[in-house]
Amino acid sequence: MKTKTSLLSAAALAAGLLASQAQSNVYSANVVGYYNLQPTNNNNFTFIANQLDLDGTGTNNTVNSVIGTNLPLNSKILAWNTNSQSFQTITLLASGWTSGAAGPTVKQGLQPGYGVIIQIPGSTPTNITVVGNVLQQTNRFPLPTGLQLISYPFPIGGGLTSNLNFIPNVNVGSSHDSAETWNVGLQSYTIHNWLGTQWSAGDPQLPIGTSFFLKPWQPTIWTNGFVVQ
Amino acid sequence: MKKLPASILGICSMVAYVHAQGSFIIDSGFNSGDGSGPLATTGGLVYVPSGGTWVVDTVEDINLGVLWGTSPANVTTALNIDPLGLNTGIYAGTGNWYASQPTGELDITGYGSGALLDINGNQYFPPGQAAGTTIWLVLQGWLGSSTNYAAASIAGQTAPFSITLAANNNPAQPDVHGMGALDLGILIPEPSTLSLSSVSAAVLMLARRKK
Repeated sequence: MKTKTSLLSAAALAAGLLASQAQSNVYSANVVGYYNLQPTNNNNFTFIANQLDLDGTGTNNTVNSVIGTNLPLNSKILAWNTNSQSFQTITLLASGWTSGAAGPTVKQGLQPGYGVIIQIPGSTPTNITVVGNVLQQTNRFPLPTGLQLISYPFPIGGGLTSNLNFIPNVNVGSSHDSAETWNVGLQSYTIHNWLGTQWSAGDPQLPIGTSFFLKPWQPTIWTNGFVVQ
Repeated sequence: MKKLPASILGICSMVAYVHAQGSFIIDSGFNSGDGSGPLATTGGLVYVPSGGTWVVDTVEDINLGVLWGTSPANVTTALNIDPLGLNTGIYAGTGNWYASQPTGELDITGYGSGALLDINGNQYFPPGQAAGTTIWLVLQGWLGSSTNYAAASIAGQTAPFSITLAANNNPAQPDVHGMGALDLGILIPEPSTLSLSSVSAAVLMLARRKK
């Protein structure tokens, strides 16, 4: 997957400031931006994440607001149900995205901090432009044990521990945290085990708009944040 | 010395993967067109009788049950394909999909091609079967309001077909596109001119003999 990042932060910020000043003396430093996702096709899988937000709440993003319907029919979105430890899938039909029991799980997967997997049929290249607000806050993201499909909640890429501030649990005996990143070219996972001071297979690299599986061996909290200076 | 823990962790991960519970999905969207028709042994679609011939079912959702087994000769165990307990009323707890319930809704009309769609997009876990295990499935379909396949008047089932289960977090879940045709009901051919002529000739001969 190629991810093109084009955050329009400066221009949007300036516009937001101007608008706010015109109405009152209270500044509202909204940062609006977008990035492009180009998921692989031919029914292969791409792990994606929405790192922008519809309305600043971080809870109201939907499949139609993030992904839309301008995709080939029978495209699928897989979301991870942490409780059942299994995927739930929706399908794009002529009438729109299916919902069923998978709908709420997919919606959860499309909030900043989570992730979904997209499967595009056919050979036509597809582009998804993700648009929204950059959440600005210090985020304390509770992570239970077990596999979870997550992402950095802000549009920043980099190494999971070196750049994105995830501090793994201390290993006890053979108990250790692990991460699984998706190799789009090989269509398989790269497994990263926390060895106490470093990750096997290297610090998981997470480009903007990418999700991954994390499996903490005990509950932990991923503290991260993004604030416009 | 740092290589040792890494190796041990790697082996642990592989062992965990090998013993993970295996799963599959119920979707045959890869099967399109008419395939090899109502006698297809793989890549099959759902057929219903109409006007004395089999036609691909594109307009009527069906009820569905799944049997599984570890060999083609013992595909007899019913699999619960309503793991979320979405069926209500007389259908609650039966473990099947029903056209009139949230389980079977759009199972045919979703794709509209004779292929099966799971509106709830679940994964299914045959009990005790690890990822990498090959199992056999039989899909049983029926029309109408019956709660089970055996009591249905318009029904049919596939021949046993195999799938190899995947780990739960493998996005490439095995699906049921290897199924044979699922023909619901019994085909009652309309009498052709030739067959009508044969019957007439037989009746005529019988009548002459009596004389």
